[in-house]
Amino acid sequence: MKLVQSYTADFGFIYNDKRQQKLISHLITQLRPLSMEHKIKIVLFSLENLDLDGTIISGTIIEGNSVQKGQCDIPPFIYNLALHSNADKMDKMRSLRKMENTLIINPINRFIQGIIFEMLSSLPNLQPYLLPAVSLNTTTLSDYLEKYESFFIVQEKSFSKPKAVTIKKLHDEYIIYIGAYGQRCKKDEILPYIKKMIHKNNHLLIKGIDRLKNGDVPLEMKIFLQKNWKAEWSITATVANQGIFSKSESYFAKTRYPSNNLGIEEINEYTKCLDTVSKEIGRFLDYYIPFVGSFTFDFIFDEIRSPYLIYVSGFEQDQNIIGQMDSESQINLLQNAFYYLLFLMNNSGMEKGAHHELDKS
Amino acid sequence: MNWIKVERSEVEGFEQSQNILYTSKGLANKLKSRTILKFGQKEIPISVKEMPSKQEGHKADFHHPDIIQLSEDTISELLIQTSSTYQLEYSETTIKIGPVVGFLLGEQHYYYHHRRLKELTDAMGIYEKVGGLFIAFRYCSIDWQEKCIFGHYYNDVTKRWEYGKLPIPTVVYRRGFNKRNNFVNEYKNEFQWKVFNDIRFDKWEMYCQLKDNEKLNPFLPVTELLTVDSLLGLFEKYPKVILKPKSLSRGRGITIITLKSPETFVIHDYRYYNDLTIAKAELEEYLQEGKYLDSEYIIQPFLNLANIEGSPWDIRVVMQKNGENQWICNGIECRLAPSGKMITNISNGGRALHLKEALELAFGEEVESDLISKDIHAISMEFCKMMDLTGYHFAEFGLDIALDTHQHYWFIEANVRPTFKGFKALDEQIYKQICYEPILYSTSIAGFSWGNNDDADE
Repeated sequence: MKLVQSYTADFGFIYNDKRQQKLISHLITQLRPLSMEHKIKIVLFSLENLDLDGTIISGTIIEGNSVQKGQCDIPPFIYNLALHSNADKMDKMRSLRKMENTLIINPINRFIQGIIFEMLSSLPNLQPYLLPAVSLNTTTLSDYLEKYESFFIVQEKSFSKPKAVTIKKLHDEYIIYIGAYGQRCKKDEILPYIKKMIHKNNHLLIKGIDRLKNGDVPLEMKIFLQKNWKAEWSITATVANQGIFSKSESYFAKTRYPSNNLGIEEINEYTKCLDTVSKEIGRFLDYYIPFVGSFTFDFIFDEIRSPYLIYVSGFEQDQNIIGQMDSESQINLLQNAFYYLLFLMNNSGMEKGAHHELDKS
Repeated sequence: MNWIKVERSEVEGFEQSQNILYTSKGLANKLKSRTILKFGQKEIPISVKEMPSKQEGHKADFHHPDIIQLSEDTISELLIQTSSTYQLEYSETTIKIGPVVGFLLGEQHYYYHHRRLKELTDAMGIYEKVGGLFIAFRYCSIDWQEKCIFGHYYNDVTKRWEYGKLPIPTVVYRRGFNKRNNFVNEYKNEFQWKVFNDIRFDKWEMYCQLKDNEKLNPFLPVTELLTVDSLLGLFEKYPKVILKPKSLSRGRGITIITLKSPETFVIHDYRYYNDLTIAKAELEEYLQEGKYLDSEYIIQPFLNLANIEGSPWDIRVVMQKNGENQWICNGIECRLAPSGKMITNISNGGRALHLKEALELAFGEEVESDLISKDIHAISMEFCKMMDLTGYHFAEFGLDIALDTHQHYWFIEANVRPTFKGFKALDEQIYKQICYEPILYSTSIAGFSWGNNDDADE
């Protein structure tokens, strides 16, 4: 039995000890000057080192230029950068979320797609960007097979990087595309095939479209959205040709990927349109999901170049996100996280309504 | 009572955009002099016109409501959900459509969906008696600029909670007590909503409310705030003391300390399998390290409660206000702790029993269960009357009462937002009535009545 020292940090950042080791050095490099400039004490920690009963954290403490291992109390503002997949960690996040004196941003980084799309489909402004979607069961699957020439299947929630499957009708057969590769399936075998493929996991059915191609591959765009220093939604990074249909693992950045049929100007135009739509989606989801600091949206395009939202996830779904970013996006990511917490700290004394009003872009 | 359904106006052209309410001749005659239409917190000027195409010939009921038609703009402005069936009330100048009732949700789920609103869906079993718009929302759901809510509403056609843009309700049934939900009280003046269950007293505050009541005081265990001195003081009179966090419910955080010998304590912490024995000199260090002294606990002597085959049990009484603004007892259940456990909460594995059954198991068949039942009603009613005098607006309590081996009553605690898990298993009818009562009460304080209760017409 020993008494622990009581040290109070202002901000906490949660990372995954096993999967995000690379993140730590980025966090230290970028948060140190911010800590110094704003006189903010920061603790970086993993959930293994959070003692909820003792309300103590063991982690890396940044105070200005000083970086050291140590213990501190649970800070009042925490930004979660990790995806937590085991029951123990999810319980800890739940308890942390319910603590009265701590505000945790991104308490959940994994969303159930059926629920998210049900929310989004209630807003008339977003209808042009949504395809008909429904939870997959035997009835809906038979209905989609009957009604549509093609449809997509995506997992309702996934701890790994989500991937979509395309089912396309071709005469008396179906072609099942996973990534770029197609497999033929006879009409009377499609139902059992899909049931076997999805196993017992919950999936979402989305009406298919003929997708716009960028060069040889269908165009996909991924938008990384974050609350910034004014608590407004802002675009941290955009990437073309990387998403839930693509097999490629290309790096993303602000760089575009022009091809013979899509010029840089056109891609820039799409990016601009998606920036606006993404911010509107972010603002709308704020009403239903509190304390989200970041989202990732996957969009596809039809042949007349209209964009459709296809998947919504927490920003940090991809464990290598920092490694895949160019330096500008890396800086944006951590600065947005820090400055959003700073905004919340500076405005925490305000009345609830006024605060909420400010926390809208 | 006037049942109505709102439809989008079929009238085209200039009048479409005007604030005109079209309805059948009979209803139009009753409403024609009214100039204001109110829905939730929103109101607009209105003129009433007869809709010649609508035939009358039936007395409107929930399943055959009168139709009123409004323009698309008016429906959007008032945020009326056209899937709902409403009541229509009218005064000298105003037509009121409703009720519009909000459930302020708690933190059980990070984000909500129909399948996470099971208890509210059960409560909507009474929808056909009240009609109206029932909204489930949280503080983040409010658009403060537009003064509307992006939340869930109950669609009685699909029997589901659906997402939508909704009006600010006139009545709020508070079901979550985290600090963030206190906004609902701070905005009472701005939104003019009636909030019930507007506050939750912690265990110490509740004790302070009760201790000066002469009728209730004999049933209160000695209660003090935890300090090392107060704890040692209690051990001078009692061999066993229970430590309860002021603000937690469902048995969370409870610790029982027993004076084993003059210099030794045995500590039973609900979180750990094994008990811990410590020396008296280590007590302060134990309390400090376990953060008991920081976390604000109350302490009480551990009561020698009546037991059933060695397991303690207590009584949960559900008191609710009915549509006539009167307190009534809607259910009594007994909760038996699991074998070897000292905490009775159903969420900790406790089992629900009927009162008579529990009394007979604990005291034998000759026990005067009717008399005990009457006493429990009287204690509960006294408690509710006293709480009405605090100036807060309560409409629901779950009271925990226990009997010791001498059949003395002990008032253990009062919960503003009790869970009804035991009743669901014990008696489906009682469970349903407990779910329905706040809906009838909300409807009543929103200024509406309910089916079969008031057929008065002008």
